Amino acid sequence: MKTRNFLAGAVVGMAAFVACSSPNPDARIGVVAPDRSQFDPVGALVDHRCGSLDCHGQTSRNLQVFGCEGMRLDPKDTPGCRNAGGTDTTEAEYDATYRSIVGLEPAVMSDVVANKGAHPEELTFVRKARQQESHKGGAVIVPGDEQDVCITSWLAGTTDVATCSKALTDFP
Amino acid sequence: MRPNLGLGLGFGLTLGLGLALFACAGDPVHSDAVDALGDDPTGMPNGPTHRAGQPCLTCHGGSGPGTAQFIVGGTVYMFKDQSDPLVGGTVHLTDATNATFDVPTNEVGNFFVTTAEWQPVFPVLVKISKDVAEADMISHIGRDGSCADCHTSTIGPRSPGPPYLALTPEDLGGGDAGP
Repeated sequence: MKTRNFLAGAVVGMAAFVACSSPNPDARIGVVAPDRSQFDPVGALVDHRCGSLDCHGQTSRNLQVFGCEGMRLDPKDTPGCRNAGGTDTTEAEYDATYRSIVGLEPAVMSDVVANKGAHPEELTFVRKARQQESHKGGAVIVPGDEQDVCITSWLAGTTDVATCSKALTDFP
Repeated sequence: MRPNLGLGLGFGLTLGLGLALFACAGDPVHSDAVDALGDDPTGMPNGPTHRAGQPCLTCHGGSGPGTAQFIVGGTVYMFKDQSDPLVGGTVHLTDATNATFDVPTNEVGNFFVTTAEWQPVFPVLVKISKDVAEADMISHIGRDGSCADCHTSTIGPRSPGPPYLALTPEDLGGGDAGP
């Protein structure tokens, strides 16, 4: 009987200990994200090809793209880059687009990045851009073209900056 | 048995008529968008010169009530922040396959291309011109053929304002039409 009482008390005590101990407030569920410092050339291409005001340059979209060719982040800015009398895409806008892309499917993004960019087609935004999945904007990129290389090289950890720049001018 | 049969028939008819009524009511989102346009502020009769500055494809996008179906349409102005229409200008459209289509602007600056005239592959690039002056739209049309959906009358972070040929009369050598 004593043993039973002891065990019951121990169980209640353990339960109370577990229930009352608070979790680590600094704990985070992380995303293995592609390198933000290598994103700007990719962000410029995504703004150029996907961010027009009638496509992903809208806050109503799951994938939101900010930049000088479309939707601006700062309410004082208006669409239009510096060569049109406006202001170029800001770092805050690249940050916002980066967060939107990475945050779309964080678990899948982690998987792709952890595998050094293998199987980028696991990401919905890649499949849609290639129209391997239904995409109202059609097939914006073709696997292996300059745009595709730009995006997949970033996912692999080494952004091909030259190819990203070339894609900006080669595709309208 | 007969009363039950009558009840069932009545219920079935009510349900069927209700479903038919629901189906005939159409798309409430589209209806709301059409209603939101209100009366034509220009006072023009229905036709190529009506509703300048409004999003053409709301009514002419295939869901009515406009009978003609457009693939692209809008209103172009001479100068930034001014209401003078671009009369007798040309809107040059180039699609993703490099197919081109030119369309004139009329006496109120309106232009439109019907789906019977052209079926472009988006994205579509736009240039506007008159005489020696010309202006390229900075970004492309991704999929929305209504200029005024993006080029709203109010300039802000999500609109460059209405499309125009030149910044000022002194700038008629060329300019930017805004993204």
